[in-house]
Amino acid sequence: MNNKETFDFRDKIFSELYQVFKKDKNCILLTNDMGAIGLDILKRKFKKRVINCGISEQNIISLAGGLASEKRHVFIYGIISHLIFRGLEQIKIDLCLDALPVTIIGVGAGLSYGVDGPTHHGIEDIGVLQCLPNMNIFNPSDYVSAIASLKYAYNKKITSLIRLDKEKLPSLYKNQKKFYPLKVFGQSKQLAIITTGITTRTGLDLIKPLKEMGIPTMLIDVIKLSPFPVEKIRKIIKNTKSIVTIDENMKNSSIERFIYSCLNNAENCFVKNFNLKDKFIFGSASRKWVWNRYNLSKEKILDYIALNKKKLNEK
Amino acid sequence: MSKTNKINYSFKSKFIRQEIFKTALKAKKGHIPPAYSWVENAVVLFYTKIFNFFKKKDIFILSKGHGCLTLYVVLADLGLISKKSLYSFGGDGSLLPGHPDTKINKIENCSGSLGHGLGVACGKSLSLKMRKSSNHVIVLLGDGECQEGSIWEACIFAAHNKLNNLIAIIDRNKLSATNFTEKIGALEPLDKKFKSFGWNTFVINGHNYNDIYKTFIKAKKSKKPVCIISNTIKGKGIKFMENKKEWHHQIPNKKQILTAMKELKIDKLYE
Repeated sequence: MNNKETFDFRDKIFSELYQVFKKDKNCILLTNDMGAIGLDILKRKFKKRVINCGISEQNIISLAGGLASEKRHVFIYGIISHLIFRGLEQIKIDLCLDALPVTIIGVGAGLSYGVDGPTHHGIEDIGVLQCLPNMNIFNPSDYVSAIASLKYAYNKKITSLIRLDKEKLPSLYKNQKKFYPLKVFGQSKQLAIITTGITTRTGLDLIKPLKEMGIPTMLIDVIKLSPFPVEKIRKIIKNTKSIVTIDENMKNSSIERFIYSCLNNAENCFVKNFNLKDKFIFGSASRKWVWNRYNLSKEKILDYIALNKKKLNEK
Repeated sequence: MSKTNKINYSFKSKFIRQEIFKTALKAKKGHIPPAYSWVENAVVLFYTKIFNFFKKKDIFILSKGHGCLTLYVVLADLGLISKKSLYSFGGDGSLLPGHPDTKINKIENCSGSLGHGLGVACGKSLSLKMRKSSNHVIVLLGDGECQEGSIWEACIFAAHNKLNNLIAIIDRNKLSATNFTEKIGALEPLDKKFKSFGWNTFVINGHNYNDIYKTFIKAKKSKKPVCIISNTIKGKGIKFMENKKEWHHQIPNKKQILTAMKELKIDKLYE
């Protein structure tokens, strides 16, 4: 399941899109002058249906709305932060109001572009988009769940954002036919760790040392963040003593916003949220550096749990 | 156009202005002057055979959503929405809000926020071209709307992708919501701007049926996207509203109502 070979999310997604484009002549891809190896291959084969619209995010979203309203499925590829924030009103009006089949494939989830500065960070977009009815947000943790998200969004003809990490990462899942909005690792009534995207890897790395500390742990990887699977999570974590969420997003864009709705008896449950708080991150900020600073690293989280082991067990 | 047609068109314009006034007065809300400025364009668009809207052939996009009363009246006149719906305009739970949305029969886009329509129109034009359709997409823009950056993004896209099935009509009434466009953010020379972006540009008298008619015919044969700068008067038809910056969405008082009714030849308002 978890081998060491790493994969580029983008190339895997474009390779899947190649198959989709081959079957469906109504598929179109628009980009704001972003490149990727897989995209070049797609462009070579489907020249007329892969369009570089130039750096014009507002127009790209409206354009996608116009195309989708004429029974096309439109994919938009670009950096998350630029597409979502520059095109936000267009997303609301030209896509979400009519729930049009447009899939935004956004690269740069979380701090993928950490060193490129706050203009490139994808850490606030989820919170903003979660407010929009008809918007579906996928935050896959590996290429397999990314492809499953893409297929789901395409087959269901929904308005969606699929957030891709820029890092090359090993796969976590086996190829799957069905889409799962969340995946569960292990079982435990003592501690449930809830993660999404890149932090699922941190969560998985914590299971073994926590077991050695005498804390059996369950991990929930939330792939579909909007609509948030509240009921599903509520059932899974029923009677669990402690919950830890780990999320590489700002507080208002993180799992923390929803976790308390998932609890049946909040007063009997110990909850600790690890995320990026609500401050912009200035300067060059690599993932490793930020994770240490904001206590998101495996080591910092382990330290916290070790210090608070008593509290975790008390509840 | 024959003389008879001309008379019919004048009759239709008069009818549309009367209905807009009565509808807005009943609701005690609505943008009368920006609806009045494009009435003649609407008559040639929807009552001649140059274009064929509403049967999934040519496509009309109203980008300046605040001009919607004209479109609502036309839709009701053509039987595409009920008269009852029209008279409920702006009321609680009415199908017809102050800016149109896609829940209304034959409305292609949700408008109200400006600068969206041209981009959406580009998407529809591109789709038609990919389908090798000979139909056209006509989008009506406000002139103040041309201060939006997204308009110029769409402008570059349309020219670069040779969307010669796209016709943008700019309702050039020179007034934005609170003042003259040239006093807020000068747009002139607007025709040269579109031309330099690679569009075919026409400047017309937007209250002259012949001018509008002939330009639409020419526009259909263009090898490039077309911009028609339709010089109009905001509030055209009610003298005290014409070309006045105070009249964007104001509703007249009792005395003004009587003056307007006389000018529009309205005997009775809707109750």
